[in-house]
Amino acid sequence: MLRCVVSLLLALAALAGTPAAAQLPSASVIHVSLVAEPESIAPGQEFWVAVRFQMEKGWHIYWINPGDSGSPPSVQWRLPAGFQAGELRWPHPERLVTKYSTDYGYAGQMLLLAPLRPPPGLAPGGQAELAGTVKWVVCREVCIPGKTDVALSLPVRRTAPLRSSALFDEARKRIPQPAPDGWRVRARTEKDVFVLSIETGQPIARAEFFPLEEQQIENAAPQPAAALPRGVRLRLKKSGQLLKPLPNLRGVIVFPPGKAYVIDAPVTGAATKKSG
Amino acid sequence: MKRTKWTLAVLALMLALPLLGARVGGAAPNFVGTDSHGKTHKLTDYQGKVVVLEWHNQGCPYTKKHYESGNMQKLQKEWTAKGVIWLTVISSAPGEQGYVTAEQENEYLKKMNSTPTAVLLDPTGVIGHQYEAKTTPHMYIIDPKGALVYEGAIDDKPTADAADIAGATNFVQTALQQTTAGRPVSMQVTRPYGCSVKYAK
Repeated sequence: MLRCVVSLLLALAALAGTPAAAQLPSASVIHVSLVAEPESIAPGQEFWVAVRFQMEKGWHIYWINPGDSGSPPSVQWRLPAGFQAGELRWPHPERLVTKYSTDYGYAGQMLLLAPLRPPPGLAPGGQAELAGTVKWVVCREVCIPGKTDVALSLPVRRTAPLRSSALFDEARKRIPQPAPDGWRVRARTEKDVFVLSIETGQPIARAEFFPLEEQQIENAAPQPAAALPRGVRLRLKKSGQLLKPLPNLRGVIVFPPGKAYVIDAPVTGAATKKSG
Repeated sequence: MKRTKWTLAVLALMLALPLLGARVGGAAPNFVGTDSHGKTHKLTDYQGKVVVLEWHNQGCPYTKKHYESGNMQKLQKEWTAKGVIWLTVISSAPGEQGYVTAEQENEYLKKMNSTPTAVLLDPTGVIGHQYEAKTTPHMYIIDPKGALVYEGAIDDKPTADAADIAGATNFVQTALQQTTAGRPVSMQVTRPYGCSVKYAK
């Protein structure tokens, strides 16, 4: 009870912008843990793990490109000998419009996924100790940095059932997929905007673009979308910090309610003024 | 007559430029600000000198990374000793994180052993908006002719962890070495990283 009161007081102090914000523990607004999809693992058989971030309402963490402010979390694995970690798979972000900035990130819950592969010669019967150090910055009106060691122990068996979990299925759905073959993706540069068109074969009314690289578009600018007979066209306001012409516009396109794809649009000049 | 027209056109252009906001390669917007000792500073006061602007919020973990490690103070000390004008700017609005009174700021400077040329208190955010400062820290460098030659991050490790300072490339250090030597800045724009600036809304 006393602990609750203390953290509430600290939280209030933080919101009031007093120096007590400095002492607000990250742990009171975010819970970070390591979770695995299977209950046991087998030699040589790839499986999924995730660093799970669970945030209190109003708090958020960041995508690879954090937008106007913030920085993405990092994970440093400590795995048993011979284990290989695949690269982190970031779910598609959402646009977080705060009082001061437009950021790209995650609120509520986020699973940062990675595939792990144990060595083929791993001896069944023991436990595999998976661990890592996770660092993050979680923000609301104020930001709090955090760092924790996460760990998980999984039994090693001769064979392990390949059962998927609802939690991981849901998380995998949010990982942007490569744009399918046959899509036509391009961008035209105009004075202040990139006109991004994506032809998938059918009209699309709504779409949201998240640039993989920073300082290419204005994060806060609306992205007016127009359905095309075979896709969608978005107008993206160029970043004021863009000094050189861009050869490519790379990013993640999200079609609500949540299908996400990685796209790489070659940028062509405005010289040929054909409206498509 | 023709000449008057030209002069007028040039004048109009010069007047219009600062309104376009801060863009590297262009003229740095002139500003007027009051420091934590009540003294007024204008950018034009420092013509002929290299000026650094550092957006600041003492409660922000990214700012703390560079102050608690002494990284920012070291940079301030090194370059002000070489004649560079270092203006720390605080654009937090009253009631927002990082807002300080002049007295609080002077105490902080003493405690942190921080020695910028001056700290401009910008609670209305006027200077912040002139430069479109987005984060704390957000760094700007202005050359002796008043041109903006660098804007962006302090270094290439966008984290809040002081352990990352050792292996980082400090963009401000490099840009100051180049500008004070009269050479062009190789990396003119980088993405600033940090907390959002707590402007009045």
